[in-house]
Amino acid sequence: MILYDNDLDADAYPVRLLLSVLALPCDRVVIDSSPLALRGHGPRGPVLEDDGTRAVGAAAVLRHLAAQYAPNWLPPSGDSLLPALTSPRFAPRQARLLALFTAEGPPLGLVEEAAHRLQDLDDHLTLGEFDGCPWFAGERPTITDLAAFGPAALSNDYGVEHDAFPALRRWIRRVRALPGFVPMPGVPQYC
Amino acid sequence: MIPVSLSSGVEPGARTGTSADGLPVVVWRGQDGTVHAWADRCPHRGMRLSFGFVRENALTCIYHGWAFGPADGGDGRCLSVPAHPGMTPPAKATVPALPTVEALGMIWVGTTPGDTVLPQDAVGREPVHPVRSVTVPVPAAALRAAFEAAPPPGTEIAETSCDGVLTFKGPADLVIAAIQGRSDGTSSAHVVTVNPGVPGRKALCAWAALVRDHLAAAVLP
Repeated sequence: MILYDNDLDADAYPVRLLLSVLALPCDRVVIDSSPLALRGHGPRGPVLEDDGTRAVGAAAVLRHLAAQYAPNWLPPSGDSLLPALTSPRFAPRQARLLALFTAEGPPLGLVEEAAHRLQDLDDHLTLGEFDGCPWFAGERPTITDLAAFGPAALSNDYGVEHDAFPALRRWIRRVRALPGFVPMPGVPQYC
Repeated sequence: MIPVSLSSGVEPGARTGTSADGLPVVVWRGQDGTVHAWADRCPHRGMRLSFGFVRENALTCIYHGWAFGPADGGDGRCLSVPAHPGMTPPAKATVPALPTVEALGMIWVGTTPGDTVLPQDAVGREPVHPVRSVTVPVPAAALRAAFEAAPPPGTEIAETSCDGVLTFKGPADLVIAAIQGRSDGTSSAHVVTVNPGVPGRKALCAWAALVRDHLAAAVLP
């Protein structure tokens, strides 16, 4: 099994999290997956080659790994969050990339949109906690939680903090407490 | 005193930044369950302590690892400096600790050393059950007005409401929304109810979020 990714690439972070949480052995090939290198061409996000199967993009790689090695990490059918969380157009992702890779940074409207998406995640978790569901898809963690973690935990990169999102804070601590959790640049080792 | 969070918003080992009437505050809870609210500024290099982390019953600055906590001389004392493990930290390396009280299922903070009085409506209502907090990009007065104008279904605003605490009474419920002025024209409301039922609290969650979303939509350019 070979993963093509880069430690600085937040799009691949959920895949690194899943590999680590499941303790799956995987060779890694570092690629330059920055938006500047990929502008206009090349597959975006992580690429996984596993026994003749090739998965491109975080959602496909996560689904492949979970289906092959840990079906209990698949979200229940009908879970609609994973595609939005891994979309290149997800506002928290766009705002962060513009903050990191452009001199002018993200436009204010995009930052507000990103904060609104984090608010949606906080609302979802707030209601779930009443029903005894501490994770995005219910009572147990799934690949949807791993896909949401990077965009949520890295929001400081574009200046949005978590003081207005108590349920998101509680859930971030849950993810960090998963056995095998690994940080990435921008996610503090200690917390 | 000003409410800065529901008690359930800061669990043991957790910390968060917030602001109380313009004052940056770090709120954290030790593993012993004691909640602390301090000025959000490390006395060493000015780093925000809310970027730090809780170990046992101390808050550690993310910048150089100075650990602060309760000690014989009071709360907020520097307990250790990793770069000088043998040194006894000087007394002036102390974070200003603010008066902190847990009441009504919320964490209340005084913005001055003598500010230790809870609003009268915050006393004697317990037990209460948490609903949620909402944060809006409008000042506290506008948030208060929005809640007053739209009580939870089946309740009406009680005449006893004082400035920071709104009480809604109905035949089957008593709902309290405590208003927090933050900074830069933003504010929060922390909502609790005496009714433990989950469907009722989820409905109140939706109500608070609706008030929030209407306020947020109204300030769009």
